[in-house]
Amino acid sequence: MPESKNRLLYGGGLTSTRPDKNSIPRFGLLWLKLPAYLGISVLIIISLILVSLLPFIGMELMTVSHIVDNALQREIFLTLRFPRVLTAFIAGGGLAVCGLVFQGVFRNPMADPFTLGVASGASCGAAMVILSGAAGVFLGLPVAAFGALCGAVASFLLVMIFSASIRDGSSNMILLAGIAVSFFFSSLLMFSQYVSGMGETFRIVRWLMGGVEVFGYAPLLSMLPFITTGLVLIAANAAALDHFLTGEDIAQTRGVHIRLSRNLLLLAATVMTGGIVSVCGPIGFVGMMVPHFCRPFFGASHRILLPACLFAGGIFLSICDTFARTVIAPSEIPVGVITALLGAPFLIWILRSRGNV
Amino acid sequence: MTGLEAKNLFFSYRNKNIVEDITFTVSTGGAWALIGRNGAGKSTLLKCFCGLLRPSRPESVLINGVPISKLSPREIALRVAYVPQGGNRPVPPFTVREYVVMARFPYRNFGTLPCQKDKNRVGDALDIAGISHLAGRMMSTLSGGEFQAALIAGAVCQETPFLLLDEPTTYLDPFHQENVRQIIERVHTERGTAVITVTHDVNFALSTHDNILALVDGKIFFCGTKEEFCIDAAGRLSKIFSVNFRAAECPNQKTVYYTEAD
Repeated sequence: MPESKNRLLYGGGLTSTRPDKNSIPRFGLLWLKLPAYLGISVLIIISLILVSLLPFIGMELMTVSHIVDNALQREIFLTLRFPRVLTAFIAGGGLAVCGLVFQGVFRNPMADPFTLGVASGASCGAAMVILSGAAGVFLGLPVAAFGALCGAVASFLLVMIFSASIRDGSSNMILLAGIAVSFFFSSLLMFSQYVSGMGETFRIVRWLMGGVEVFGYAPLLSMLPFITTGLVLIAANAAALDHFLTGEDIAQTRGVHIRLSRNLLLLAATVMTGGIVSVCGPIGFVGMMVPHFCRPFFGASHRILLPACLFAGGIFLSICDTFARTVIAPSEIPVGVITALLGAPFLIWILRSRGNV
Repeated sequence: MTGLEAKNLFFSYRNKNIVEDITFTVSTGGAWALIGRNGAGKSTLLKCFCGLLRPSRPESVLINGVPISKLSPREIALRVAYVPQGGNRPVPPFTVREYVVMARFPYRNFGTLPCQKDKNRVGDALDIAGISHLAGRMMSTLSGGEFQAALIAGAVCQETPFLLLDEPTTYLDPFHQENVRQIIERVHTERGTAVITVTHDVNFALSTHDNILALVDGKIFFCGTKEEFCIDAAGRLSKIFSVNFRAAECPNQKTVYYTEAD
């Protein structure tokens, strides 16, 4: 068909004279659409600067000369502050990627490790271990962490079993099963708190608020295998994740192995969540917010969004944690409190100023 | 045996047969229209053909003689493309071009980006669907007719020998219905793609397709060429839809069918 007729059919002549919404130049920082690789580079540079500078900030500001001259200061810097910033960065990045995966697989803007029941499963697992009074190391992991991981995997399996019994196994059903499992584990957690003593209840409540108070590099190392495995699996399925956004019928008829990709992606995100929650406790809001923050700047392609969320999540949580440990120093606020306090107004501001993308 | 073939195909849901004992073959380059009342099993049959639904016996759908159950999703995607119903769908958060590029997924090796050949094919698909000028628009900003054209462009870009369309003209105004009809005709004649269309528009079914498959309550009511169907088209349509159909001759020698109250 000749081009002129196409134009006639769609009023192409009209649309070409009408300014296209996407071609209007936008000014101001928020309207700047960065080329993907430039954007990612900026994030990486900010990440490097933050990870190297934030450990100097604390109740009292350290300088390089303090660390070189004073052995105590050096010890604080190397075994407390630096691993803490690094842990916050990696946990934040991991949680953001998990949120991205859950939101993509379920095509649901509210999906995150919490809605699927994974986080509450992990919390419940860890709480059970704390209650039982067990301590020590099992298979290279602190037992509480091991409990969290078992809880995460258990909740994931429960969700899968529930949703598999429904014939179509569609995303909404899995999400609904996730919410059910989440409530189940939350209630289990509340029950165990109710029957336990004051001391244990306080420990659990404190743990549930989330935090990255680590000592040395061991917690970081115990979390890393989960995060790297998860990231590799997710990166391998990034193209499939794009296809999920077009609807499952189209995705499958375009050659995506829906069931396999979905299960691999969810398993990867579950293992990552389990690993992170085992060290940091359930830190809310990062997983849900960071992907929404990244999309207006980086578009919807997961090839770009994945590294963007990884770095943006890391930046966000390490800044939040710095707030958490400095605002009322020498006392600390649990970082889970800060993420929502800082994040919620920020997210609403971003969504308002960018509109729907 | 070349073609897309159904052999004694049954599909049941909760012990109720949705389609029963369907046997017919879409040969390469054919054009079939599937007509029937709502719930007659047309869409179910179409979904069985592209592997979205599994028939009761997996070997009852064959592509070029190979049971579809033996093919991976990728292998099916290289042979059969599917355009779902346009209304009430998730709108992909991509531009039209990005959406159509994604249809090259089955051709791409693991982890690679679209190559120049893919990009050329995308251009061709956008041309054939007549939406080249919309390539940079977000899918969410398209009108219903443009959205349907973009969905078809995606399926065309898959370059499969078979193209399945589920009610492509439903929800569209007459202008866009005609446009979609022209796109399908172009894909069929210029590319030699075999087309299977589910539709409620009997005039669209009879004008664009050479063969008709009519389902009533999941069973074949009529299966044959358009010419055979047109021997008593009004009578057959009346039986299929349980409403009186009349034929009217148009000045351009075409016959159109319309419903008439009792």
